Amino acid sequence: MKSVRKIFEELIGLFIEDSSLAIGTIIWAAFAYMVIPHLPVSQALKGVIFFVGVIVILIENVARTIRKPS
Amino acid sequence: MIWPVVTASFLASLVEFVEALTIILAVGVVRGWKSALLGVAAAVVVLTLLVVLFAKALERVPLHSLQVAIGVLLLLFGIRWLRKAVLRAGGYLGLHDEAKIFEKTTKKLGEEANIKKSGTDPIAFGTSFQAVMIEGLEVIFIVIATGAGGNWLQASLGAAVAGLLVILLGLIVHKPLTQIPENSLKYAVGVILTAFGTFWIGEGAGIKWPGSDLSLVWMVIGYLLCSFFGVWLVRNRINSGTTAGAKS
Repeated sequence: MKSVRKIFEELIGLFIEDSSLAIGTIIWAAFAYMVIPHLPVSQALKGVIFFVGVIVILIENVARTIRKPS
Repeated sequence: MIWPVVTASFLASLVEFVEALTIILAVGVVRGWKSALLGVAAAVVVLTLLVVLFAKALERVPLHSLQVAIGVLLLLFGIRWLRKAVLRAGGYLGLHDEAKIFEKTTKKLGEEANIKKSGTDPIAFGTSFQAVMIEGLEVIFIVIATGAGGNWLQASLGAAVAGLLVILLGLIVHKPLTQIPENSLKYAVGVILTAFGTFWIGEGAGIKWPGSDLSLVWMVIGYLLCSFFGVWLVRNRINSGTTAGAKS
């Protein structure tokens, strides 16, 4: 049982290590699915908007992590 | 899109197989090979059953929904690796060290009581079973995710080659594969999986990527350049003395 629990925890840990990063990514993905396709911009720009958003999420998270008191 | 899929699946699976091998070697050396290999075999049987069940279930999911679901999981998986790789490369986190993990595992297993010289050792069986299950599930996910456009054969091929390579190297060296630059590999895999995740979410949402499948190339380059900026940010912060470096 302990082993199954450990495997389950590891499985969740595959995707979520920093909860704010995971939440930000999921929200942005939902935005990409529901909102970005309907924006009045070119198809190429829609992709670029989503891509840049992911970069912002990553860099903001890294910057916030290193600001935390150690 | 054959080579990006094979390469991504190969590199990501290679990392997982190396991690599994380190644990199995530690178990085999300290507690005996019979129980360690029995644990591996049991985990492989369970994983094979899971693959068959998954494959049947996945056939029923519409492609667009599958692309979005897999894209989200892949993006979470990739960005997590990329974040950690950036923090490691910048010196904020300590580097992943297979030799240290091997040493720690052998020490822990050596301290456990009841080392059986004959019969099945439950600790050895359980430890190697767990290691193969965890890393094996990751490999299954990598194959499903990187082959999400119907390229599962290519993705499976990449993972199979990685598995065979690690088994072969394990048989030859009988030591943890410390020569494989795991930290650099994880960095590269983080970049590639983040690009794949972004791509699949976009495809599922109906976004037409500039350059179609080739957009994966500019996305990989883009994420790589931005991650370099992240590394610079971390190093700058550490050098200014406002943040301590190398946590584990």
